[in-house]
Amino acid sequence: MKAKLSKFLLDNKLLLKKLVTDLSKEFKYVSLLGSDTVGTAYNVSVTGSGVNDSNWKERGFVVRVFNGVNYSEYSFNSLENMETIKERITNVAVNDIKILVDKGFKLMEFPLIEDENMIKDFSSDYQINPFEISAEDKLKKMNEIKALGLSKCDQLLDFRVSFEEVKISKIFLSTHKDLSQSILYTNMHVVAIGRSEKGVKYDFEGLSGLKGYEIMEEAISKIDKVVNSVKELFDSENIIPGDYEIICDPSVSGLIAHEAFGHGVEMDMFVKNRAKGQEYMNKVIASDKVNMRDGALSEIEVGTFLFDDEGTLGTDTLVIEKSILKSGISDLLSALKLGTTPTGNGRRESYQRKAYARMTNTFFEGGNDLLPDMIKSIKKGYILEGFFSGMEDPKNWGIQCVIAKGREVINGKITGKIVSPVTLTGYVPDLLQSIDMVSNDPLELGGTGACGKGHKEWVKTSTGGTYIKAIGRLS
Amino acid sequence: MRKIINLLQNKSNVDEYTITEIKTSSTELFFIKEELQMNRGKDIEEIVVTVYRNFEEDGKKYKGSSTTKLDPTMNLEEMEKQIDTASLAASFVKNEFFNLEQPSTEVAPIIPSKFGEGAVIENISNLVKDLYEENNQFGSFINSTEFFINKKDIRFINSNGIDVSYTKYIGEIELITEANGETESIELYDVLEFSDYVKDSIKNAILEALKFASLRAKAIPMPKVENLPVIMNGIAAQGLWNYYGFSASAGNKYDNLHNNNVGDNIQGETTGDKVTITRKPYLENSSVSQYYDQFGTLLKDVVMVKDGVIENLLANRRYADYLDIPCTGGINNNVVNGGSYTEKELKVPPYLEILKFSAFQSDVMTGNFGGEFRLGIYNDGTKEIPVTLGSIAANIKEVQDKMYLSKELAKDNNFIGPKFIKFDNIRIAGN
Repeated sequence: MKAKLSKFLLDNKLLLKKLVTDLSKEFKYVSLLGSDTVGTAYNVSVTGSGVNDSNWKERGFVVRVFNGVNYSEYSFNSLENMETIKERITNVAVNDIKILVDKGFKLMEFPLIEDENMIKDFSSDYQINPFEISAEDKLKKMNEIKALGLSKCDQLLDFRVSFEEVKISKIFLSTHKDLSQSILYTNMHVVAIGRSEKGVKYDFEGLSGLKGYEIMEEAISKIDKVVNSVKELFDSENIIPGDYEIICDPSVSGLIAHEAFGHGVEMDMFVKNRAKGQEYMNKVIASDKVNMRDGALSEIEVGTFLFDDEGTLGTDTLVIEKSILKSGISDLLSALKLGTTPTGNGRRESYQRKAYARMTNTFFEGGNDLLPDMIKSIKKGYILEGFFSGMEDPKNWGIQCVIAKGREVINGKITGKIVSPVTLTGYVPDLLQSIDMVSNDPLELGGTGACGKGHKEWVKTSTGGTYIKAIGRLS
Repeated sequence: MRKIINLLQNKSNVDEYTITEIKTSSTELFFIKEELQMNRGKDIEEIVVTVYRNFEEDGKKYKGSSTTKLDPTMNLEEMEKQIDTASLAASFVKNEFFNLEQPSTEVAPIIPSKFGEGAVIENISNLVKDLYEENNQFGSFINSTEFFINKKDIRFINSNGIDVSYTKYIGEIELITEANGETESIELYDVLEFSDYVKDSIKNAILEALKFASLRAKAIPMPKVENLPVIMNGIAAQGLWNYYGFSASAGNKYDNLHNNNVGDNIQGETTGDKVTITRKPYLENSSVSQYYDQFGTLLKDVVMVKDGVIENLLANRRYADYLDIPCTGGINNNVVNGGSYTEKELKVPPYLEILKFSAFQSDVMTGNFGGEFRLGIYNDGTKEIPVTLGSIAANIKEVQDKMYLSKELAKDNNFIGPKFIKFDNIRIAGN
């Protein structure tokens, strides 16, 4: 099945094209991004349930114009009075700019965007349309999963299940471009919360992808894993801070690829001189075991699209090739400023926000090692499993990854001891250069959460990899 | 709005409803160094409707709800279809019954803001000017900034007759400061949030950011240490207090995540300072100040924890009914009382003072807190050494018995609390 573009956008396309044409008489470059995203979030827990609009739901537009020196934007969500919209765009791009210049503000110069002629569309595939399944059926299935989870352990306080269905419809119009895309994705979380004499412990498993209601069946396979994880956490101990040999599971590998490194090659940071990655272009940054990719076309997950929020087609960027930093990832305006080619990474939290260089699907490629061999090679260390959060430091390459738990390995054997919580910190090049084994397992990507830039601008991304072995500082 | 109210009132499949209309206008400026990279404007209207279905099963009353957003580009037919879909979904949501909020004769005060005076482009220009006037001090400079002023006109209506309107302003500055060290340049990241034009507040924030950037440029990796007292900057570690908010939340009690009651001592016996926390609907220059919550409850100051003991459970209309306790409403401003020590009394060498975290982590459910720090001062007893690339970890339940708070207070947007928090027994990871 193919996702269908929003009727609202189709019905109003001519009106929006006219707006672009009218504005083109005043401005040398005009583009319009229209978004009509629908979605619903469902949740069940021991004490109740909920069915509400997805936080990603939106319907609105953003216009970008060349103001003679650089670019101005206006976001709006009413089409009632097109003349008022045009007046507001002129206010922002002409009047406000004049006031700012009169006050002595300097404008950063940008070249004019050279658009190429392009008409394209894209629809993602899915098996079962989640929007055609009733709320009653979804809640019933989720309650079954909840009951199954609770039945696995007497110490569970709750077993929460959440499901989210989102269909993104976007059009991008400029003088030369006419692009449209419709993308359907689903997310699920199963969260086990338990209490022992040591206090409350919890863990979660996530599922995501450009898929439909078929994801619901996949959630059942995660129940045992998440319940067993909480049981292990009941007996977990604090870790003694120090440097250890670590094996990162695919989710932690992905977190490192994303937080420790990916943010550092977002090229709007190059324009600001905020990224250390700029100094390492075409230089050794990691061990020769490391290949890393990012791109809307690198894999099919929640970061997949035809075109980004500036109308640039998505690509597949080889960021690190056998230890060498080969390429950053770029939005359109940063590429214009840097004289590079945009990579289709200009993304917005919503039509209401500015576009920045953002990741899409980010991962370490698989290697040639076997996981059992990796475990055998450890003298004293931990297998790191699951993560809660991470924080980037693109300028100075500090790392902070909050990991759900560590599984102790001594002399090549898993001892059964679990440590939690675990924070992985350190210096990015040290960590990447210490990677000496990469497993040959199938690539695993997850995209249940959202990625911020600093502390805002949330976008859907996926991250992953296979198992990697390295040296890491844990606390 | 009248059309939506009529629609909801005439629908037999909607028993009760709330409507929140938010009209947002913004002006936004983005700078790299001192040059304007982009300017933006925004005019958005959002109407959020929650529909409720009341029903009984086996003699027990239930209330289902579903929240949906209506867009101004929708015609009446589309709105009706969306409300019907939400209503149907609500009929399958089986939550315990509660009563929606009733109207109050009391009128909430107006939230003052100088951003309401004059043109927004002039107001935002003043913020830029104030900030950049302090640029290039202490060997540090501004790398880049983003400025936002949002005006929000909010109207809340419910089916019991509440109809209140208010205006609030939300200001935000993302500030990246940079300094050159011996081997490399460094940066620090700050976000300033506010609701009013307070020149001194902007000036103080940029000066502190530049000073801290200057210190980070001189910082060395945190050495390995043992048994060293840790003093956390109260603003950097304000997330620490979320644990007490979680432990006094009626919603979390209802969800069986804790079993605390009014009168329970959640801090336990302590040889340090006892914790007192008040929630306030209005705090000067706070971007989250508001006198009404999501249910339309008129909010008042509430003492949540006094000397480590729960004084009030925080309960919105729904959980207040569930637990049959007073409704405090959802309140966003957090005020933590100062302690019994001066800064000088707390800073007895040796110690590690943490000024900036990468992102302070506070897991309210387990009590774990800590994180990597980007800037600290290690006083080894002989000198003060700026340090970076270290981390701390602890559990509040294990260390709150020896928590020492400064008398001096610090303010950051919706938070006022001790400027310094000291612990003797926190794990420190160094190099």
